[in-house]
Amino acid sequence: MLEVLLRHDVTFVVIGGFAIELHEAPVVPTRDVDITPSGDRTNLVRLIGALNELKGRLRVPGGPAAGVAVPGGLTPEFLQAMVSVALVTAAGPLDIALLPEGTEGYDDLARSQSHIEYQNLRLPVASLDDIIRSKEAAGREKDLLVLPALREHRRRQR
Amino acid sequence: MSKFDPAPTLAAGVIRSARQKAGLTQRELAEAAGISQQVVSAYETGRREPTLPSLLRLVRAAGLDLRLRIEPLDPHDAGVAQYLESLPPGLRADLEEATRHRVREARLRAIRGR
Repeated sequence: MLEVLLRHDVTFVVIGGFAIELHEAPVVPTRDVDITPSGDRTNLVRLIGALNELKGRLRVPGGPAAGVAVPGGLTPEFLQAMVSVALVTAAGPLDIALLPEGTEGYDDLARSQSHIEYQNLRLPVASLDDIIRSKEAAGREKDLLVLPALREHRRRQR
Repeated sequence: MSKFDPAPTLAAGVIRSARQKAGLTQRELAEAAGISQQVVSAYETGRREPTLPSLLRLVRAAGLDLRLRIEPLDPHDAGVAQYLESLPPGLRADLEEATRHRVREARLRAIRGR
């Protein structure tokens, strides 16, 4: 999935559970991939190209497992109007968070991103500090359960 | 339980998070809250579940406060679970095994101090 985004020259940073996994934190990973793309129009057009190749459709709980088509199709305006979009793609679930909790979006996260090799891809990944910051701000039960382990992992990495 | 595991319960995660943020040991937090270290340990490992007043007392003993919010249910995880259930059983089993393997590897790295 991320190979397709890179091939389409999409500017993004990996966040969320998959980013935690890339940082090799010993907590159970989530089964979806979360990214924060740069919100400029040119980048969103590239992202839409990648999502069309991946056959991205909206993920609706209670709806069809294959997702539902975005009314009117995916457009930069649709993405810019959303804080986050949950999709199901041919390669699995993909969440696009334009403005993750506790952050100012792509530019904020890109400042301290690192690049991590994964299956022959060089992936831009949000820093552990930013992931923790976002989870602290979100404050959901699942965040509160993993935050102590993430802080411990960060402490050991320093 | 390894200290790198996720917290077993919501209350355990809240107490451990508050204690870590304050830079306190279990003993120091227990003393500040006027309870025993064994009770703090039991809460953090999920062996005991604190009442809400006890949870508030511990968080405040760490110099922090706890705010509760009522929000719409987040359907995110339900959507992912529904997608996974739609996969053929063999593929789903492969994914679950791959996940278990990755977590095992990550824990081994943590144990070895990598």
